[in-house]
Amino acid sequence: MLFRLTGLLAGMLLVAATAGADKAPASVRDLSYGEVLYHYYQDDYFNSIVHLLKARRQDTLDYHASEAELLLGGLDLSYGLRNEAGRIFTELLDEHPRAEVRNRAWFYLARLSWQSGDSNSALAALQATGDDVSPSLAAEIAHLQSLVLLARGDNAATVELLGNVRADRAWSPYLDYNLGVAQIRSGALTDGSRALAQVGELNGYNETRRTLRDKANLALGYSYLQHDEPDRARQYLERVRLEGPLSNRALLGTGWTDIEAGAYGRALVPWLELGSRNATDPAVQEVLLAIPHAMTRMGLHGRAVEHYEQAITSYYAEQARLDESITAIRDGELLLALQEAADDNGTGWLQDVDAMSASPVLRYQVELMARHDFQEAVKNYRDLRRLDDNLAGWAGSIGAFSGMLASRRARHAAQRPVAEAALSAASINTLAQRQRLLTDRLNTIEQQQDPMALASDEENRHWLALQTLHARLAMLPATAGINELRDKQRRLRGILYWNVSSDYKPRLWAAKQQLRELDDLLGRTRAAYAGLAAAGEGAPVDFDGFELRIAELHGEIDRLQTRTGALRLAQGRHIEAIAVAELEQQKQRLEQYLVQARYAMAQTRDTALNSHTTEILP
Amino acid sequence: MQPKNLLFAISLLLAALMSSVQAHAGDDAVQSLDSEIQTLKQDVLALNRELFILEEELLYPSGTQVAVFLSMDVGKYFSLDSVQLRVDDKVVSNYLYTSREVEALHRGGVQRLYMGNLKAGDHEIIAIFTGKGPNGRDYRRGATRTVSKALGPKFIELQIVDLEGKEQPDFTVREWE
Repeated sequence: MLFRLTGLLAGMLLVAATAGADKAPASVRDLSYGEVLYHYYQDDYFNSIVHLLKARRQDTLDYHASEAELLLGGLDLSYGLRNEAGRIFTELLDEHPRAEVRNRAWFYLARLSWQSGDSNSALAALQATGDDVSPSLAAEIAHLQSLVLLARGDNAATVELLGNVRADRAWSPYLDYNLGVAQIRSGALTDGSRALAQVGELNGYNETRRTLRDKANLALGYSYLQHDEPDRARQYLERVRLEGPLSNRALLGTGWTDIEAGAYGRALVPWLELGSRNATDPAVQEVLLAIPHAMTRMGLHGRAVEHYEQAITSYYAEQARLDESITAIRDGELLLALQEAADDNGTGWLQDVDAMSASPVLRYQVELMARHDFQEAVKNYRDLRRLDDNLAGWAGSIGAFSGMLASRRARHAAQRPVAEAALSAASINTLAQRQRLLTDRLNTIEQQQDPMALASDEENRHWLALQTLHARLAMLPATAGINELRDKQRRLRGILYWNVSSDYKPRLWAAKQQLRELDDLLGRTRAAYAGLAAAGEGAPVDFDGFELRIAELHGEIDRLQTRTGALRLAQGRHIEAIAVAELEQQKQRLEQYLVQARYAMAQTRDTALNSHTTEILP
Repeated sequence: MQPKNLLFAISLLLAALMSSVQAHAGDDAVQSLDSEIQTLKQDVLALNRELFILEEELLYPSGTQVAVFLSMDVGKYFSLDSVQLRVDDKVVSNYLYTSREVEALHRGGVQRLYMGNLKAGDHEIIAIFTGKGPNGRDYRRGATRTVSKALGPKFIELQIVDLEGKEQPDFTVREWE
């Protein structure tokens, strides 16, 4: 159950961002932190960690630094980096001012200890968590603590703990289940049954809940069976789904309830059904012995002997299949199958039961995958493959980076003389000089309040023409016609002057505005020049810097590829060793069944002979 | 099978059902292999960090760098299918979302939709959002903004937000300082 909950646990890593899709997300104040969350919410722990490390290095986590540290610890934990996660959580405990963050850190440290088998440290860390926790974390803490206590056999403490917990809805079935287990173990059958029965009636809207419901009913059934209450046991065992993962064990138990009740014939109904199922399942192997046992009790010695013989044949066949599987595993076929399985969650490939039972290497994977160490080993193996893919991808890119840098360097070298020529020209200084002259001129105009200095080109032309006319008229005799012309010239000159001088202030303002714009333009031009000059000076250094970094990183990719390859090989061997050890154990179990079958068959024959049965013994 | 065998079998099964004890990797060789894998993973993560930074600095120098992000604030009035991003009337990204990515956005994740280079000056950013609007109707809306690019990186965020009063989605383009 613990492993199935990993997803739920991971969903509660965050302090600020709520995990529920129906709730408004807390707004992200650092884009880079939001990017980390984007990968994290897709269960892409690798890229979440990479982006978080990058954001930390680039110092872009202004607002979310402390949450980011806690998130990083949680991500490390999910990605199997227990040592690093432990270091981060311990640091948070020492340094973090917020009790809520420290409590989470304690909780994750407890999980770490629990995962590495240190229940003492796990318990100590859990007991160190304070009251300042969210309801969901409180439930998680209670759940983990109950698992630790149950593992230590401290049933009374588990009952006390879970009796006082008020969990949120998502967690209560798991806590109820553990409570029921602890109560039954400590002898409180009635209380324990009540707790388990509640879980046994769970609304099964998803497979996780349906399996938990089956598990509760199965546990209840076997508890009642152990306490000599076969009728009640049967009632719960019959609630287990016939097609679920626990159905074989439920069918086996149902048969035993009938045996306990003395209804041997009725026991054969579930047992014969179970006996027809896949013989790789231990429950099926066991029922092959149980069927003739029931028949013997019914006095059907002949049929019992027949079934014992069938069981023996089946066990031998199963042993042969196990040998075949062990050989296939040793030939590397298991690793090949693991490589081919492309799904992300690592269990989807186990769904195709028919294909699996036909394959020697996959035939026993369901049982193997139920083992935590095997699951972890496979997870690591797949992670190593992804690391390999990741490094291969970068190995291609780094070559492209080198090429890109080389062509950029060549282009820069070709353009440099042109840029240098532009930079060395004194044009910027000439422009600045001209701008200064214009400013001085405008200042003089303003001081002298000379409106005609701001006349337009056309106005100046007219002004000049009128001045010339005035000089020429002055040289002519003062006749009536000439005087009229002089009056006209004076009038026109007055009008022109009036027009220009009445517009003096707006013209002065416009001229100043233009100068300001020119000033701004010059400033920008200077900045662009400076930038260009800096780029010119800095570029060769950057090229060299990039070249060095590329070379270093290229070397690191090569080194890590070698290490990944070696570790993949070692991890592959480790997986094969676990699988073979498991199958050897199954062979030993079959060996025991074989001994029991032979003994029981001989005993049945003896009984039959001694009772002078009329049945014809095979 | 004898009754004592039956009891033994039941006890075994009960122990398996009720116990939550985990199998632990016991021997030192396994522990050491696990530690080595952890160290390798950390080294590859650190390498990826350095490579991403190098890639960014090499391909998108800070002077011209522009990054466009996408986020949702609740987003209950709009179910996102795709986004087309245009910069100065040139399509730079056409992104089709998976349900997992949309879910990650709903929960507060921020996607880096595009990264590129732009010269200093004004640029027009147009984002066209396609998806399902209120009542499951096909919905296609655009958001536009002229951004001023100076020397230094520029970050732009496309936001899908809910207008609670109108019960409609709204699409905005925001510049980050």
